Order: sequence, then C-alpha cells, then structure tokens
Amino acid sequence: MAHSIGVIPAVDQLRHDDERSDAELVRATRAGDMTALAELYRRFARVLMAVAYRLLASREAAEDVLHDVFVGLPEALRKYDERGRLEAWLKQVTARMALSALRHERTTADLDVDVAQPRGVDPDAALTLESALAALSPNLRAVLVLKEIEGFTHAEIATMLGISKGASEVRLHRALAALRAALVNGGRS
Amino acid sequence: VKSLGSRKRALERWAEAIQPELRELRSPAPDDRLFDRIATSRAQGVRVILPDVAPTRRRSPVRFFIAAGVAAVLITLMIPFWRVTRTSSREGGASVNVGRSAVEWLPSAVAYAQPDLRRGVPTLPAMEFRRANRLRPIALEYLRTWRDSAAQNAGRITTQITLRDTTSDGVRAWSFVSRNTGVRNGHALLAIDSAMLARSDLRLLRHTVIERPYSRYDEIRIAQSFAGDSLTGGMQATGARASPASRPIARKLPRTFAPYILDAAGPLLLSAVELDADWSASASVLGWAVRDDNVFVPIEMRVVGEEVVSVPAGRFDCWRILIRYGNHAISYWARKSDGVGVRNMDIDPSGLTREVVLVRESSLGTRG
Repeated sequence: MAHSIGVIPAVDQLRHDDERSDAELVRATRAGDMTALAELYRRFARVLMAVAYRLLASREAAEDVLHDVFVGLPEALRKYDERGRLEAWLKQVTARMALSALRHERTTADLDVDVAQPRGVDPDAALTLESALAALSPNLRAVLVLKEIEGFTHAEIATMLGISKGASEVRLHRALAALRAALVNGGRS
Repeated sequence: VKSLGSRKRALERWAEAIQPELRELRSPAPDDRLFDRIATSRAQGVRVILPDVAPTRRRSPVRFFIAAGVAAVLITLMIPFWRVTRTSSREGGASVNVGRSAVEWLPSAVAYAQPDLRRGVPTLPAMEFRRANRLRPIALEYLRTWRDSAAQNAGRITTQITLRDTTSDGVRAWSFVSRNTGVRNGHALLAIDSAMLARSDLRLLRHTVIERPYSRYDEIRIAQSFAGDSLTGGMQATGARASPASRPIARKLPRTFAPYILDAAGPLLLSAVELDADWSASASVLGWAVRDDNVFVPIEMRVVGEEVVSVPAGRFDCWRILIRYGNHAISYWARKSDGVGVRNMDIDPSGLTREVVLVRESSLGTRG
C-alpha cells in the first residue's frame, strides 16, 4: 500500500515505488530522489526505530538517531556495498549512531508507556522486562541488546563498542545476571 | 568451580528462555512527522556523515578453490551412500521432498532437523506419563502468530484441539484432533493432525496428517501406525499441477530415544507429567518419517521458572519450561493446575518471533 508521507505529495510516484526493489531504491536515493528515500523510510524506519529505541530507551533520542540516519543516507549509500542485505546494513549504521549518541549524551532512560503493544504479550511482564532492561547501565544494556535482540556476534559488538571480544562476553554475562536479578526482585523468576 | 559452572549454565538457560520476549519488547512506531522533519532538514541543506560499516567481505578466489576441493572430496566419499538413498527413493516411487512445514508446538516442524543420532543418547531421564489419568475430554483453541522484528504480523493460524474418549482395536484410547487454519507465507493453509493414544500410557497407536496445500501439491496425507518399536504407513501427495506421489513408511524407533510424542499433542502431553521446580526430561518428537532425516527429533525439557501468564483465555499460574533441540530453544508455559500448555514462544529459523496463546477452552463432558 502507498503511504502518505507529509512533504512528499507524489502519491502516484509512491505507488510506483512499492514495486521497486531495494537495489533500485538505493540507486535512486543516491541520485537524490526524495520519493525513493521516503519509500526506504516506509520499509525500514520501524525496524530501525526499534534498534535505536532499545539501545537508548528514549523515544526522543531514538527519533533523533533515525532523523540523522535518513538525512545522511543519500550520501552514505554511495559507499554501500549492494551485495549485502540492505536491512542488515541499515541496522548496523543505526546501532552505531545510537551507540555514538549514548556515548556523547548519556541519554536518560525515558520509558514511553503509550507505545504499541504486540498481541499476546503479557503487558505486566513486558513492562517489567522493559523497565529492567532500561534500568541496566548503558554499557551493559548495549551489549545485551546487540547480542540477544539484534543478533550481532561478540566480535561485531566488540568492534562497534571499541572493546575486546572477551569484554563483550563479560558484559553480556553481567547484563543477564543483572536483568535476572531485577526480574526476580520484581516478582518474576 | 562446579557451583560456578552450574550457575553459569543456569544463567545461559535462562537467557535462552527469555530471548523471544526480549525480541518482542515494544518500541514506538516512527510516524510521517519524523519523515517531514528529515525531508525539511535535507531541503535546508543539512547533511550527516554516517559511520562506515564494514562492507560485506568479498570471498577470495583462494577460499573458493579450498571450498571446491573439500566439496569434491566429500562428494567422492558420499557416492556410495547417495546410491543407497537413490535406490530407496525409486522403490518409494516418488521424488517429492517431504518434511513438516506448517504448524508446530514442539520442534518437529523444523524440516530435516534430525541430528546425527550416533553422536549421543539423551542425558536427561525419559519423560514419564505418570499422571495419564489426569487427561480429560477437552476442546482448546489457540492462536499462533509470526511477527517480524518490528512486531508486524507475518502469519496467523488458529488451532482447534479436541480430546475425546474412544476405543481403538479394543484398546481404550484417546482420540486427538488438531485442526489448523489460517495464513502462512501469504497462503491460506489447512492442516489436520489426528491420532489415537492408548489411555493407559499415552503410547501412540495411529497418527494421520492432512495438509492443504503442501509445496506444489494441493494436498499431502501421511498415515502412520505404531506397534512395538515399529512405525509403518505411507505418504500420498496429489494436485492438479503435479504428478501424484506416494511413498511407503517403515521405520524403527529406537527405545533409547523414547518416549515418542506428537508435536500437535504438545499442549496436552504435560498434563500427564508430574511437573515441579526441578523437573527435567527428554523425549523425541516424531516427524513425518518419510525422509530419512525427518523421522524424529530428540528434545530436552527443563522447568526454568514459575510465572503468572496472561493470555486471551485468562491469567494462569504456570511453569516456564525451556525446550531445547540442537541449538534451538522454545519457551513453553504449562498451567500448574492441570499441565495444559497456555503459551509458547520462540524465534523461528527465518528470524520471525513465533508465539502461540490459548484463546479459549471448554470441557467435552465427563470421562468414561
């Protein structure tokens, strides 16, 4: 389905974009085509927002990261290697931007309770888990999110965070222990 | 040291169990307003330098030649086995690749996942149905969903399960039927699993599967009969756009990996087991047994916690059970009061979060 996106009024063009492959959109975005950028936003913004939000635990900070990623995308795509999966590449870029924001601003955790709740998930349990995750120190949360949720390897995480692979493993262990302790104290085992 | 190792393993098991829920954590949805901001920034000439992400590594020609060499050696070594398989296929009279694909509670649906059974026997005690008398005639309805990392639905199947009293060849039995309807991979799906289980010990007597559509066929039927350690039966696949295919099934089920259980009966089987905080057990989930590598999958189950779980059917005190097979794990919540499964959750091989929740239940009358 076409998606109405504010300052991009060319709905017919967007319908056409629905049929374009990721590779075609990448080429068009590199050339400065804003409808192609809008379509990339429609396809990937949700997933990228999840990555940034889980790392930063703040909607505002996550939106700032997403803003920067998409503003910089047309130029960054000139260096993108098209043989990889675009989504994986975008997730890595977003994770790095979020980690950079985390390092420089030390964003304060700010849980937004009005965000959409997936069906079937116990709201109490999810809130407890989310609170426990947000309460972790940024260093521990970053490793836990990147490894257990986003599926990066310890080697990749080590590169992203500028630490050793062993340090990444130790941080994950500490993060899991802290998360479990928080959930047990919060009434879950 | 032993205690440290044990604590580390317990933490790793817990991490495995909690992973699907971590991936399901909510996140806000980006809106059009944010894209307006992005477009405005671009229009105003704002530019952001994004970090360099390591490009996909090009495969060097040297690697290719090494891989080709290894493949050539393996092919040479495998030729005798390939001939045996080929002969067996011809005897079966069909070339269809048959493996479970549609619905699952336990891991049988991971097609061709059967590990190398020569590598080891189960280390946990075999699952025992000491509370078989606790089963009762019942109707259960479950909703099964698949979601991507942005919580978007990628599939939705409704499962209706009934368990009724019956007799089979003079043996008092349970008649079990699991009917699954919905959409998976963009296609409408109907899958029916039915089975006869001996009431005394829940051993399998007969099992039938019908799935529509299956691969390029309109319908596939699998019929299995059990006697002692033998599994016999057949497969038939039919369709307007494909030649009919059929294969006989004849397998030995080693006692080492018993008991053999049905994936579809997953929600009910733990009713017949005495669960407690230290419970752990092994069993094997039967596949369709048409292919050599899809006869059964050994699993390990372990209680890893106690939780109160809310699902559409209600709020229940549950045992949280981690089911493991190979490198995969499923979180499973069984109701403390009667052992009925109320929820399960895992990450499927394509990376989607798969979740099943109990929607409603009703009694089907008193036991005979």
